[in-house]
This record gives sequence, C-alpha cells and structure tokens, in this order.
Amino acid sequence: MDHYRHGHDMPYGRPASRYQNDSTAHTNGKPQNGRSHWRDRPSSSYNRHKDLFKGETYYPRGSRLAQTPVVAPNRTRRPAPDLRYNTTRFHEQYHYFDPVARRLIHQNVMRPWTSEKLPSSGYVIVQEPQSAGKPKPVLKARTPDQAATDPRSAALNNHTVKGHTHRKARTQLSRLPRIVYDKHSIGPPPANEIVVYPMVRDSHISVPDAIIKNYFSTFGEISHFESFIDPSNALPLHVYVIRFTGPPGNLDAPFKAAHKAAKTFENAHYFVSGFKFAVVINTDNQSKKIIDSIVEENAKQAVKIQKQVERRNDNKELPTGPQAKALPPDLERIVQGRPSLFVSKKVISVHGLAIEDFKIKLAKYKFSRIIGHSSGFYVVFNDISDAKACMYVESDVLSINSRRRRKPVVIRFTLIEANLPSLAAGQREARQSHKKEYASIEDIVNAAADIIIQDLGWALERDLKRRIVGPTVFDALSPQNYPEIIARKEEDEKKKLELRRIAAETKQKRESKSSTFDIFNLYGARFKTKGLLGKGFIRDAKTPKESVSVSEKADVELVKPMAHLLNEDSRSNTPPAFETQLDDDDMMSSSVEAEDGLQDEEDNQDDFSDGFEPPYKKTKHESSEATTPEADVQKFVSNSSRREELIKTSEKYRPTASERPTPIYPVDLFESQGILSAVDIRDAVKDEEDFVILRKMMNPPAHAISGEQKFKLGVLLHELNLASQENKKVLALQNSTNEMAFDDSLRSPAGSFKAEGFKKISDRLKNCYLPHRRKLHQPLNTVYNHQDAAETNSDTHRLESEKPELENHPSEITSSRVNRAMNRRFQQDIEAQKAIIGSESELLTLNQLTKRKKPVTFARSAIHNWGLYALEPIAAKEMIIEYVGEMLRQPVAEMRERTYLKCGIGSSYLFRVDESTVIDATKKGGIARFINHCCEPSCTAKIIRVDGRKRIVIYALRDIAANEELTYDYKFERETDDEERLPCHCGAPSCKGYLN
Amino acid sequence: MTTGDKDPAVKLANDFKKRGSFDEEKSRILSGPVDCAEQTTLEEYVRNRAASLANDMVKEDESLIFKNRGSTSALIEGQLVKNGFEKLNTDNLQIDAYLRKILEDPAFKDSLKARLRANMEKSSDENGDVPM
Repeated sequence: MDHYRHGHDMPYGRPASRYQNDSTAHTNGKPQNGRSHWRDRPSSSYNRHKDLFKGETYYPRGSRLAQTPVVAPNRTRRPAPDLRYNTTRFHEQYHYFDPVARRLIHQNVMRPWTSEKLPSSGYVIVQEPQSAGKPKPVLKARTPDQAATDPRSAALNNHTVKGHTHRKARTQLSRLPRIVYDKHSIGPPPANEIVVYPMVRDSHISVPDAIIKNYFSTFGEISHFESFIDPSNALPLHVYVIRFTGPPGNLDAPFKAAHKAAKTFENAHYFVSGFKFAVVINTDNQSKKIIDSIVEENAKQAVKIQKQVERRNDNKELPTGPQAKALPPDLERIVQGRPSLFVSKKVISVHGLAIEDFKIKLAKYKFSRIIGHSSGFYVVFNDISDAKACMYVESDVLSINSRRRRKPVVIRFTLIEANLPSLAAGQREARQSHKKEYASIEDIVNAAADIIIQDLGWALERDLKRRIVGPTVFDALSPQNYPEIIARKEEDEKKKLELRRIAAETKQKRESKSSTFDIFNLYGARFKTKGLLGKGFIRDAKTPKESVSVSEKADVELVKPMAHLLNEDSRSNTPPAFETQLDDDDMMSSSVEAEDGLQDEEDNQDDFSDGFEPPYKKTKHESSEATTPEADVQKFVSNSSRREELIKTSEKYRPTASERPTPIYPVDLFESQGILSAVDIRDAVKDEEDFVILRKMMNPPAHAISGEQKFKLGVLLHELNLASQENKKVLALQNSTNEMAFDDSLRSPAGSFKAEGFKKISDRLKNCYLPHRRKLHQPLNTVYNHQDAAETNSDTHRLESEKPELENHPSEITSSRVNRAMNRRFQQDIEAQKAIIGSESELLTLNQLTKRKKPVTFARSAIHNWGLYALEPIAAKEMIIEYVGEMLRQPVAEMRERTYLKCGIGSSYLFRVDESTVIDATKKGGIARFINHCCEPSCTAKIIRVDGRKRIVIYALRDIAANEELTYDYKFERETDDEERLPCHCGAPSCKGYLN
Repeated sequence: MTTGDKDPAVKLANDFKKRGSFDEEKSRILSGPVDCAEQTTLEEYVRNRAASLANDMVKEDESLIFKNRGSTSALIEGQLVKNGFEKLNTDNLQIDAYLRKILEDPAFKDSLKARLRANMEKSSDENGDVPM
C-alpha cells in the first residue's frame, strides 16, 4: 500500500496536507518524520492503514508483531517538501488551502459535493446494457462495505451459463509454424528428402531428369538425386528422391528446403512438360513404398498385355479354319487375285458402318482399296504380308462406333488368300484330273470347234473395231471432206482480217494527222475526241476535205472507246432509217445556221433517203452478214425509175456512198469564229436555195437600189471583207499559239488593262495569253536546265524547239543502261572503300534509290506552274525517282499543314508513307515534289522498304515518251466542303475536275 | 500355253489357227455379202456406216474437224463400237446379231469340225501318236 493512495478513503472534510512540515494539516503523501500526521488523531478502523509508514507492515492491533521492536524505532518521515508558492504574493491564488497558514480556507464558500441526489457513499458510473440494447451510463452507488467479488469466478462456478464467447468455432487445427531446427533443437532432425513421383501412370512420360533436378535445386542445394527404374523391364519409373543439404552454418537449410518444396506442391501438383508429379516429404521411407507400388502396377500391366497377345495368337487360327471365304466372282476382276480381308455384311448393315470408317481406322495398314459389295466389305491388299499383319492386329480388336447401336462394335476380319487367275485355273485343273479325258475324238473335235468359234467371235469384233471402223472415222474427220465448212471458216477469217486492217488503217491515218506533235499525241488525240463526240464535227481549223475525211474516219474510231461516257449517243442502236435521218437533221441544224442539207432534204427526200440508207446500214453493222449489202444493192439497183431521177440531179447533189451522211458543202461553224461580219453571211450562201432562204429571212425591199447606193455598198463590203480577213488572221494566230481565242473579258474597255486595277484572272482564261499555260497539243518545250542561272526565261527561248543547253552536260543524256552500269561500278568502289576502312562510315552509305533514278527534270508546266518531265523515254513499270523530303510524324504533319495554310502556301507537299509517317517536301526535298496531279496519270507511287526503312518511290504506269510531263494521281480525300475543292487543270478526258 | 499341253482340244484349235484357216474364216465372214445391200460386203457396209455417222457428227459440231484428229477419231470410234456396235446397227442390219448368227450356224460348226478332224488325222499321221 502506497502512501500516495489512501486505501479506502480520504476522511471527509479534511483538507489534505502534503507537506510534512505542516503539523496542522494532514499530510497527504509523504508523512513527516516517518510518521503520518494522522497518528495524531484517534485512528478509527479506516485509518489504521494510514498510520503505517512506508516500509512498515501492518499488523493488526492485537497482534504481537505490532509491538515488535522492528516496527517501533524506525519511524522515518518523508523529507520536507519544497514549497514554492507559499509566499504572500500568491495569497490570492490559493483556492482552498493556504500553505503558509497551513489551513483550509474558503471553507464557507466551498461546498462539499455531497447532496441528496448523489449517494452518500460515493458513486460509480457504469455502462449497463439497457433493455434497448445499447449500454448506457448509469449511476451506481458505491458499497464500500461490501467486499467485491470476481465476476469471472462466478461464471466459472456456474457451468450452466452459456458463455457468449466471441470466438468462432474452428474448423481445423491451426498449423503450427515450422520450427526451425538449429543446434539447440532436441529430437531427431526433420525430413530433408522429398519424393517426386508421377500422378498418372502414363507410359509416354518422357521428362528428362535434369529438368526436375534443376527445378528442385531452386528450393535448396541438392546433395542427392536418385531416380528409380523398374527392375523387371529396366524402364524409368520417373520416381525421384531428392535430398537437400545446406551450408554448414545453416543447419536448418535442408529441412527448410524440403519443407518448402513439399509445401509448394501440397495442394497443386508439380506440372512439367505436360505431366503431373506429386511431391511429398519422404517420411518413413515413403519413397520405397511408392516405388514398389508403381513397380507392381507395371507388372500387372505387363501381364495383361501378355494375355492379350496370347489371345490374339490363339485367335489367329480361327479365320482360316472353318470359313474358307471366297471372293465373289464379280469382284475377281477388281481384286485380281490379291489378298483381302473380308467383313461380313451382317455386321456392316446392323451397325450402319461405312467404307470410310474402315478407311480411317485401317489407315496405318497399306491397303490398296476397300470394295463395298453386297456380301460385305473387302479390304484389298497388294501384299499378303500386309494383309496378314492387319488381320492379326485388328481382327476382333478393331472397334468402330456403331451408328445404329451407339456402342462400339468389334470387327472381325476374314482373310481371303491371294488368287492369281492363272493359278486359280491351274488349281481348278489340279483339282480335276491332270489330263483331259475325252470320250472320243469327236469330243475333241467338238471342243476344238467351240473354241475356234469363240475365238472367231472375238477376233471379228476386234477386227471390225480396229481395222474397219477406226480408220474410216479417222478419214471421215479429215477437213477435206467438208469443203463447205472450210470455205465458210475461211470467209469468216477473211472478214476478221479485213476488219482488223481497216481498224489499223484508220488508226494510222489518225496518227499521221498529228505526226508533227508526235509525243503529245496522247494529249492531242484525246483533245480531238472531246470535241467530236457530241456533234460529230471537228473544229474547222483544217481544210474542208481533210475535215470531212477525218471526221469520217475519226468517228468510226473514236466513237467506240468513249461511247460509255455518252449513254444517249449509242451508235450501236439501229433505229429505223427515218429516225436516223431526223437525228442527222438535228445535228446539222444545231450547228449550222440555215444550211445545206436541211431544206434540200425536203425536196429531194426520196433521193436522200435512198442515198442515206446504204451509208446508215453500213454504220449499223460493221460486220454485217454478206447477205444484207446484197439485199440493199439489189433493192437499189433494180429500181430503174429511181436511177433516172438520180441522173437528172446534178453531180453535186447526188447521193454519195459514204459512211455517214455528209453535207455537200463543208461545214461552217459560225459561232466559234468570233465576230460575224456580213461578209461571212454572204459567203455562207452557196447556192440558189440558200439565197432563197436568205431572201425570205431578210425581207429586203422590193425596189432596186440606186447606183450610188450600190457604190457605197460595194465600198463597205470591201472594207468589211478586209476587216473580217484581218480578224480571221488574228484569230488563227491566237488559236495556233494559245489554242483558244483571246477571251474578250480580258480585253480592257478603257484600253489599258493595268489602269483597271488588280483582279484575279481564272485559270481558264490564263490559257489565252500565258504561253506555258497553253494546252497540250502544243509542244511544250519548256524543258531546260535551270542550272544555267544566267539564262533568262524569255518567251522566244521557250518557243524554240530544242534544248541547246544539254550539250554542255553530256553526261546527263546518257541512257539508263549506261547509267546503271556506272552506278554498279560506283557501288562496287564504295564497297571496296568500306572494306579498306573496315568500319562503317556514314559518309559512304548510299541512298540506293538515287542510283535507280531516271533522268528527269523540272520545267514550267501547263497543268500547274512547275512540273517534272522525262528526259528520255521510260518503259512501263520502271522506277523513276524517289519522293524525298523531311520525315515527320503524323501530329507534326498536321501542325505543319495548318501552318502552311496560314502562311499562304497553297500547295501541299506532304506525302503519306503510312498511318503514322508523312514525308514533307515543302521546304526540303527532292525534285519529285514537282510532279503534278492528273486524273489519268502516267505514274504511280509505291512504298518500298530499303534497308528496313520505308521510302516513297514513283513508278511509271505506262510507257512515257521523252519530254513528256510526269503525272500521277494524288489520291486526295474527297472534300466534303465544295468550296475547299481545288480545280484540276490536267486536261485529261476523264478529268474529274477537282483534285479532291 | 500350258493349257495347250494339257488339253488336246486346245491343241487342235491352235493347230487350226496355225494353218491359217482361222484367219481365212474370219475374212470370209467379213467379206460375206450383207443381206440388204447385196453389193457390199459386211466390211464395206460397216465402213460406210461409220463414215456416215462421223459425217453427221461433224455436221452437228463443226469444231470437230479442227480438233486433234487422232483423239477425236478415237473418241468417236469408242462411241460407235461400244454396247455391241449399237450405233452402227441400223434397221437393215444388226451387226452384232448378224455375226452371232453366222458363228452359231450349225453348218458352219460342222464344216469346222470336219476340217478339224482332217487336221487331226493329218497330224496323227505325222506325229505317229495321238495325244490322248
């Protein structure tokens, strides 16, 4: 009992005095001089304990010990406390005790805690579970006079109480941790060996021991690894005993390793190479047991197999014994005496087996074929040994899943021996007598006669077939026998040839027309077709005669290829002659003002209709049968009355036999020739009829004009004439240079174009005056060397035909073959240099693609600004040049695109390599950036890999002539916003009009 | 050939053939006049039939003459000859039946037998023993 605690109670109302010097107050802790101040007071039973000093033991009053001298003299007091706050200064701080005066103060104002509400003996606040369930603090009076009892002992004594223990019932014993074995451990050491044995008895286990050993060595150091074999057949059992060991300092290591290994595979099996192993600690020499059990199993297995083999050997005799199965005669021919295995039909039909089942199951055996027969299946072998082998192994063993009974059914085979037909006959004979016994000569003769007759029959058949029928048929097929057919065929051939010839001729003629602009034939020819199609007339730049013939020929040629573009103008239809006439009328009238054939037709309709028919018919059927022209001709010729008519009409107006109806006078296209002057109209009147029409139109006054007026008229006319001629000359010149007439919108009304201020001229109009914009059947000899910077780009220079600069650089004109050879030599030199240097030097790496480049150059282009031109002819599918530029990632490319648009660089030089890479040749790049877009390109781009890197390479799609502009399809994505679309000036016939 | 040793009848038949009588018979049959058209022999008749049939075929399909002559003729021949000269038979003459009739004619057989007998005697005279 400590003096700091007062045991039961502090006396009420008594102030505590802690200080030993305080004689008035009670000392509350350390009693002074070893004695408690309470000794001064009469001690009640409560205070008995207080009377003791520290170290004093309490003895009851009555005991002898209390009076022992041990207790009495040693009455030490506690040391006096060190008062700090007993100065007067702190007086007002004292609440209830004055340390100086050593008395309680403020007693009148201080009230004790006792009240009626509170229990007088003191109280305790206890958490008691209420009826509601939640424990609530409850005031409980103290009962100091009652001795406390231990609630636990109450429960103990009261066994009927069901203790609400809060622990769950355990389902299993908790594992004790492994006790480390060290030098202090007592008892035998734990196991340090494990046994690894296969879970499944599989004869195909083939796990090398090394794998297992290596794996288990990860658990710990292995000191001993043993594998066991089956003593009876020396095959490995795949049972291993592994003993662990450890470094000498660590006693526990092997046991820990073994334990860990076993624990790892306690619940799961060790799975290696497809086989499962169990791992257990080798306690009580378990390994031996395991081995023994496996060995036993093996032995049993062996015995079983042994029995099987014996059984099979016994079964061998069965098939050949009782049933000597013979091959049905109709199969003899197929089987041809080879050995076969027979499966009876009963089995097959009952279980619904098929030949395929057998084929699958007997695939290992080299059967020749399996024949299905009404008696059963025959499995034919080429070799008797094969048959026998299959027989021994499979008969009564082979089971096929029955289709009808849902159960596998065992098949029994019967061997049918090989039988050669001659042997068979011989056997048959052998069974009979060796010699043929005849009753008499007569029989012999009879037999012989029969034989002969039989042979005769066969011989006759053979003879007929081979000697008689065969050659006759052969001869009959000779083409000479069928002259008509041959003749007909030859005619067909001739016609075809003829057609081909005509086609070739027309093509040639057309080509010769534009021979001066040879290389641009491709463009030029196309241009002609464009103009022709709708109307069937050519622009009248040529002489009339030429134009007619060209129109004829060209129409024939060109209508065909482009017919698909004009669905309405299909010449292959064969409308009745009248309709076609009308068509022609329409065509003519739409292009010519008041002209030739139209009115004529009304008068001479008969003539013209007749005249038109043959030509029409000709256009209808190019390859018409020979019959129809004859019919026409007949119709035509036989009509004598018409002939007279024809003779009556003048030469000019006679119907001409031509492919298409042609007007008598050459076509006059007024609209294209710019301003029409009176002179033109005057010239348009070509004959009486026209004059009549003109008169009707003009409605001139009836009276004649005076001589003066006539003179004036004459002068005016003359001037008009001159003017129109001048005009025509100008127009001709314009057309010859720019291909189109000078557009009037470009002509400034005030006289000075510059004075009018700045306005944008559309590309279309630029053709009128910009030489390099000229369209394309003009020779665009703008190809020249930019390297001669001193050269000024004057128009005259451009119009000059060839490139004199090229002579200065002879190396560039060399052919590509020579180039390739040079490049190869160069490459070899580089390789040699590399070999000498030894290490890779970046300087020596070649961009291989530069060596494959074709001689091309850039020059002003008609399509757009600059373009790339081939300097020499390039064959199709050849590589031309690589598109070189900065390689960017996709996001960088997008950013740059926006930047360029903002800067005003309208052209896009970004070329996509793949989804994430783009090549940008805007600021840095090769000359391939100059290749323009065309809707009918001459080149295409491909992505190839060189040294593992992707590069863009331009290949030629078709043969390209020298000085031809290289074009290719940009393959821009179709823009949804129509204003964003860029117009295309490529000039191709199938031009889409826009780049994107 | 071994049967020839064992079977005297066969031997006799072979003898007959060796003498050339077999072929003789055969050609005789073939050159025998046909019932319907007396002028032509069987052989010729068959020939004409085959030729006309081939012509018909060509008329139907003109491309036949332009194909490989050997294989086409073989094909046609096969067609004509199979099923016992089915296609070659006409209403007038059934080749198959005709041949069989001739062969099975008992008179023919008798004549054969007579010849065989004669042969046998001749050979026995030559050999000196009858193989019995």
